[in-house]
Parts: sequence; structure tokens; C-alpha cells
Amino acid sequence: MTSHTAEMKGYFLLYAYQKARLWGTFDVLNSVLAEMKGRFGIVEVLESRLAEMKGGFGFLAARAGEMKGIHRVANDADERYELYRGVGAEPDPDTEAPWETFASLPHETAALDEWEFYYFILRKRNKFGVVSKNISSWMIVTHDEGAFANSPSAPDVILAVAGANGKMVVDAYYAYPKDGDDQATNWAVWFTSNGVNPDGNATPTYNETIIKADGVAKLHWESSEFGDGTTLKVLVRVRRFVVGEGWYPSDNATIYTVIADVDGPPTPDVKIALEKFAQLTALDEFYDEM
Amino acid sequence: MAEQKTGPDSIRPYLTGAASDGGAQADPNLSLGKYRAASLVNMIGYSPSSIFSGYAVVVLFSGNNGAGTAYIDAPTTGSLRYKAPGSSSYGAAVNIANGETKMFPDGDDANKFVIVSRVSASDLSGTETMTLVLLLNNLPGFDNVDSAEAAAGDLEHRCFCLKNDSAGSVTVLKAWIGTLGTQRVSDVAQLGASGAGTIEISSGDFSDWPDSGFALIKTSGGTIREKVYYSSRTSTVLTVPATGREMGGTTAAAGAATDTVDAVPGIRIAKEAPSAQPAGYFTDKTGAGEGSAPGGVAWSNGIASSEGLNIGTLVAGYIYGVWIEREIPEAAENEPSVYNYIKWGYDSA
Repeated sequence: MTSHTAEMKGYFLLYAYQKARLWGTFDVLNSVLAEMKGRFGIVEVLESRLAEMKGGFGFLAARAGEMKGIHRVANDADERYELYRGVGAEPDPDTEAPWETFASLPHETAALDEWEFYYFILRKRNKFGVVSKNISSWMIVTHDEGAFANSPSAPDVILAVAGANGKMVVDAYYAYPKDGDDQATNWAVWFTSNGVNPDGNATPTYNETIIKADGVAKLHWESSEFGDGTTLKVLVRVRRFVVGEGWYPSDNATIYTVIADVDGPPTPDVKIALEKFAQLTALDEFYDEM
Repeated sequence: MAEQKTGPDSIRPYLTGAASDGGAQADPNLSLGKYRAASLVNMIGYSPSSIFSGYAVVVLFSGNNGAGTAYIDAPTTGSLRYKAPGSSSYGAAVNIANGETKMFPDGDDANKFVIVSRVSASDLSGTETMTLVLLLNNLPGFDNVDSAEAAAGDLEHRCFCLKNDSAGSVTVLKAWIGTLGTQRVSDVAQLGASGAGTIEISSGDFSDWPDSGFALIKTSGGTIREKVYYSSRTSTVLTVPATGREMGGTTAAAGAATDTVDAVPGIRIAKEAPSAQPAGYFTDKTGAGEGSAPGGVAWSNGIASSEGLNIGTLVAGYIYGVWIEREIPEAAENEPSVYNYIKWGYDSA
């Protein structure tokens, strides 16, 4: 019990001389309302039952306890798989409704369109309504016979700059070991000089077989020369050729634009190339250790 | 106030279901009356339990701490202090010697505390970051409701024991049900005298209410009108199915535009004095099972200290039983996290 000393003034009930149990509201210096027990000395009786006192006392403090707990409510009918589909882009299962739901695996989806990039995320909802939080997607490309295969991943680095004499200079890097059996076999460059975006579904402007030696494939390509101020655009992908099926390109779609410049020196790209090269070297080491 | 079993640690909740007072029984699902068990109710989950390089161990966190990140700091090699989740300040440092068990209150709220035992004479140093979580399927949480129970409805019970573990008396001990969301006024739409319906508000929203759950409807004067189950909600509308009426032993009644609605757990509580103090027994439902209600008790849906169970004074070592009845309505919606919440208050030295 905490001991306090206070001076008080107020109305009270005195049960026995100099030994009292007090009830009531008192003006206590530290502003505590208390039930008090103890010995008090009456210093001065101001009037009947109104006294000024000094003494020691302890007070009871208000305490609070609580406990919470959780349970779950099940509905077996709600246990299911939820398949999210994105066409040309990854779906967002946290904001989108599932494309299909089903109770068991394996599951055959509805028909898919030909020559599309599809991304799929499969989540599991349990009977309590809790959904798995996986976000990794599978990407497949359908071809014209309805089959599908995996495409290689996109090039890791693509640099496109204005070169000397109105040329476009493209450098790209692709760390092919990460794609395992789905590694790309070729570089493909789609290029335009008329201001129109290149069409990745058309025949590439330039096709080159990837040389695999150190874990990182490199592409260096230069366009022909164009007049000063010409808008040059390029799309660079890697792609995999499957005998009897055709090409499976990476799905990157970023188009790089430069303005041809015949007056000045070529855009210096050494520093950037060195930075990127340093990163790729580290990536090589990573794969070497695997 | 550094000693355990004093101040805010005077009253501790224990499981029941033991064969004798203080007997072994650690299963909350078997906490069905009879004698007080040795095991405390698990109120908060925490990690790690061994702290300061193994020189100290956590004994318990008070339920008031809630979930979040807490800190136990060693300002000197022989003292500790505590800061609860969401708190702005550490409590006062308390000396703790090897072999001692002490209580360390938070700086903002002394009802939030941790009990720590020191198990080594080696110097304490640094700060331990503790992760605190609410517990699934502890005693107030009950067990999970399976699909058949959710479809048909279910009524289950638990009994826990409040014991005055302090050396002095505690007074005005009361227990009541905690709320789970902000109180609103059903000024737009109210339930009819029976059947399905909606409760709609215009001021504020239900954003901090569970997706489905229970609502306690009170008149503007504070009298309980009805407890209902809502199967879904929007930000301003609760949808109550016909099977969601008359929950918690209440009677269906038409609402009024001045009624208040509170988000509450689907539980009600009742008190039971032991057969004798300080080591008596309570109604024994360990044989009949969790579906069997204790007889002769008065159930309360109260959500304030003035409305709940008034237990009164417990002298040192005395006990009192509190029964919980959990109600699941027919066709209950599945939910991953349904919260039950019980509070108590008292005065002590």
C-alpha cells in the first residue's frame, strides 16, 4: 500500500476518537479521491464535523484487466482454389476477382486465345475464408495450335543511344542461365525510323543467334545512318525457337527512342556500360557459384 | 509497485476443470467448471520468452498489452524497464536480482505490464524487442467452429476463475464484455419487431466493426433492447438475417431511431461463487461437456462495468468463477478471425 501524507479539510464521520474510518470527498493536495484507513490527529475543529486534519493514509487505486481471444468459423463449401489471370500483364489477386474457381486439382481452364502472353496466379482459400498470399505468377504463351510453352525472360539490360553519323547504337545483356530449359536462342531487334512504334509481332529487323559462353549473352547492334533529327525507335527481345512450334519471345515491351544526331559526337555511354557491366559481372559470379 | 501479484497484477485469471484446487489442467477447452486449475489463462502470445542472452525469462504479459511490439530495456546491469505496444514511454526501472520475479509496468498505463524472472547473475544489457500477438483458441477465444456447427448454430461454454493473488483485499471487482467497434446510432433504419432487416446509420461508419458479427442494440436510455447477429455489413448498413435475432438470450424488439448499436462478441457472461473460499469448486460441466450450460446463474450482456457482473470484494486468496457462453447463430458466415473480449476492474492497494 502506498503511503501518503496530506492535509485535508472536509466533512467526515468520526467513529472513535483518534482512530477513524473515513468516507467522503476530501480536498487532498494531490487530487486523489480515496477511501482511507488509519490514525488521524485532529488539529483544529473548525465547526461541528468539519475539521482540519493531518495524518498518514494509503489509497486504493482502480485497476483494469482484460483478455481477448480469437476463433474461426468454417464453411466447407467455401474451400476452393482461386485462379487469377492476366493477359499481357500480371494479375493483382489482392484487388481483382478470380478468373476461375474450382474445388480440386488438376483443373482445366476455359480456352485461351492464340498467341497471347498469359500470367496465372493460383491461390488457395480455406474453409475459414483465409486466402494464401502467394504472388508469383506463371507465364505462358499460347501458339496457333493451342499448345503453350514458356517464354524466356526479358533481357537484363538494354541500352539505346544516339551514335555517330546519325546511327542508333544498341547494347543489351541477357543472363541466360536463369531460364534453364527455356533459355532464349536468339536476339531479335525491331527498328523503325519513321516515328512509328516497332511491332514485336512482325518479322524482326535484325535476328542474331545468341552466343553462350560466360553466362551473359551480349548484343551490340548499330542501325544504318539517318539524317539529323530523325526519330529512331527500337524494341529488343530475346526469343526461343522450338522446332515444330516456332518462336517464343520474351514479353518485354519497352520501346526506346533516340533522335539521330549527325552534328555532334556520339552519346558517351562508357560510364553506363561500365556500371551495367559491373552488375553483370557480379551476376556471372553468382551463376558460377551455383 | 514492482512486486508481482500486487497492484494491477492482484487479480489473475485461471483455467478451471481441475480435480482439486490448483490441480493440473492446461486445456482451455476443458475449462468447464469444477476446481480452479494451476494454469493461468493465456492472454497474450509473445516471442521471445528467453531474453537478455538467457539471463531472464518472461513469465507473462497482462492482457491489456494487446498485440504489437513491446520493449524490455536494461538501463543498468541489474534493472529492467518496460514499454508496451503503442506506448510513448518506459515505466520506471525496477531492480531485479538473480532468482527474483518482478513486475514491470508500462510508463503510460500501469495495467499494461510484464512479469519477468531473472535466472542468472550475469549483467543485463541492451533492449529486447518483443512481439506480442492475440491468441487463437485460448480460453476467451474458444475453439474453432466447424462447418456443421456454423450451419446449425452452436452454444458452448467455458469457465475461468478470478483469483486474488495479492496479499490484501480487492474491492468492487466487476467483469463485463468488451466492445469491438465504435458505438453508433441507428438513425436511418432499424430492425422490425421480428425477422430479417437492416440497421443503418448516417453519422460515422462501421469501418472498425468486424465484417460479420454481433451488435448490441440499446435504447437511448442505455437499456439493452436486443442483441443480434449481422451476416454482412457495408460502411453504414448492417444486414441481419432472420436467424440473427434474439441473440444472447434477448427478445426480438423493433428498434428506434435513437437506439445505439455496439459491436460486441457473440458471448455473454455469468458469475458463480465457489462452494467455499478460498479453494472451493464451481458447477462441474467437465462430464456434460461444453454444450451444457451451468444452471442457476444470471447471464449478462453488459458492456460496461456498471452493466456487467458485480463480484464485490475478494480478500487475499479468494476466488470467483466466471462462465462464458458463446453463441453461433444458424447459417453463420465463415470468418478467419472472430474476437471475444472480456474485461474486469477492481480497486486494490
